Amino acid sequence: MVSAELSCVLELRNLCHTYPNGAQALRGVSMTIRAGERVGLLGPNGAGKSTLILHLNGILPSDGEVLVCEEPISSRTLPGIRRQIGLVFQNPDDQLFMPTVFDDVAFGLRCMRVPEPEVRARVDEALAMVGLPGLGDREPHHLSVGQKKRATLAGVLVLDARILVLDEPTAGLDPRGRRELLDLLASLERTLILATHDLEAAAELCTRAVILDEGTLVADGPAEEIMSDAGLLSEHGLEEPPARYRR
Amino acid sequence: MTSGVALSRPARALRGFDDRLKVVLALAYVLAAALAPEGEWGRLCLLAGLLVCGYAAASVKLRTAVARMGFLLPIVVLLVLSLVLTRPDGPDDELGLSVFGRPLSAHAATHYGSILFGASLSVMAVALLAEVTRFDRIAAALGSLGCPRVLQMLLVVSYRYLVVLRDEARRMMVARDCRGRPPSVRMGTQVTGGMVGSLFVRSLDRSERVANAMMCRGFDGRLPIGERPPLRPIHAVVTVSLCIVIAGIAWFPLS
Repeated sequence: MVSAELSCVLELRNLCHTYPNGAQALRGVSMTIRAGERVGLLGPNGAGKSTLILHLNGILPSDGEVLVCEEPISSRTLPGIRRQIGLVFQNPDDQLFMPTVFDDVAFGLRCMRVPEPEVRARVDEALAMVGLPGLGDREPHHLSVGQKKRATLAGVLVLDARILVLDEPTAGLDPRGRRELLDLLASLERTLILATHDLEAAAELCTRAVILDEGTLVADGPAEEIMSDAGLLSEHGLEEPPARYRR
Repeated sequence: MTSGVALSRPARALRGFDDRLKVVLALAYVLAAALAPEGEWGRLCLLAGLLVCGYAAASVKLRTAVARMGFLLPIVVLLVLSLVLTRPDGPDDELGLSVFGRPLSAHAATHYGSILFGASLSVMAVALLAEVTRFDRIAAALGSLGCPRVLQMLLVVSYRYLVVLRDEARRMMVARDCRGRPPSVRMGTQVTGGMVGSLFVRSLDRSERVANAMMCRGFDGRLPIGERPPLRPIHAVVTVSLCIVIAGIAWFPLS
């Protein structure tokens, strides 16, 4: 199932977004993400990280252009694009909306009308991959936060998404849950975009870092270089992670 | 649902019974209890006996059903009020009891008593169904039986998020109590009203995020459901037999 064909790129061209209340969340963001890259999308609260990742999946209407595998987002390309980009939301309760873990992980496949025996096999495989084998029958509210996060990840891995986009994946996790999740993410051969202000996690997982502040892309470069620039980080409400976390 | 306890063979059989047929049986029972002829207490007692057998077979304690009777409280209040306010149709219709000096009508007592008895049995039957069937399976069974998908989806999502909402409400109440209790009833009401409003706004926000999460995974307006297991003939035979028994108890002429 999880044969990662690392051939996708993601391109943003002059992406802008203004909310109905007039707040400008994105101001002309342009960047290219190559297949297999692990990008840390960093920035303080309200920087526009969550807004940006909602654009990657066509959830928010774009003023600007988003190209996934060279295809612009349109009503025609949207279903395929949503299969390629697996979006994991910050709060797992927002994403685990089905009554059991199995049904939730199977949701995307069933929407695609995948035959039921294949759904079973792929869901079991995805649950095993995230370390939740045998928990398919559980109701989501009976899971710990860490388990919920892993279940949400299973829900996008099962679709064989080539690009994983995670919004604050480590938020609300205890150290053990956080460690398990980071190890799991490190083991996945996927293009990874991590929107976070947990710089330690980003430093551990990402090869490239992008800083977003007040809707503007203010820095883009190798993670090691960006995360050792204490002045730059501090200027944008971030803090240099301890050296031991940097790659 | 009973868990962690070794179940008897009938209890296991009842839990393994086809979910669609369990729903059909529960609906048949509710209809029979609601539509049984008024004042024929024998029929209602027989229906109650059947239900007690169901509880015994499922190894579900009757006190579980009694706890669910709280749902009937508004109906009980309304029925009692109606009974008190109904005038007897003459001396022959007087029950021989009076409340606040108002004589009670025997006919009204029979009428409202039948409604209450039938409603109690219906609640107990649905409680038994909920004890032996997981909610998601009840929703799926309703879908299989022709319940509109929108309604089925509402049930599934409401059930999933009721717990989340309850937890959120509890956290808000703890936060309120941590900062001291409101000194007056009026202020308490204002605070509670504010909390309910806040909960509503949070629910709206959450619904938007949930809708986004659904769309991200290819939701096109139709709730995808899994494979429906084939109907086992023995289950169908048992269901038809029980439906005939229920209908017989409720409507078969006794004399």
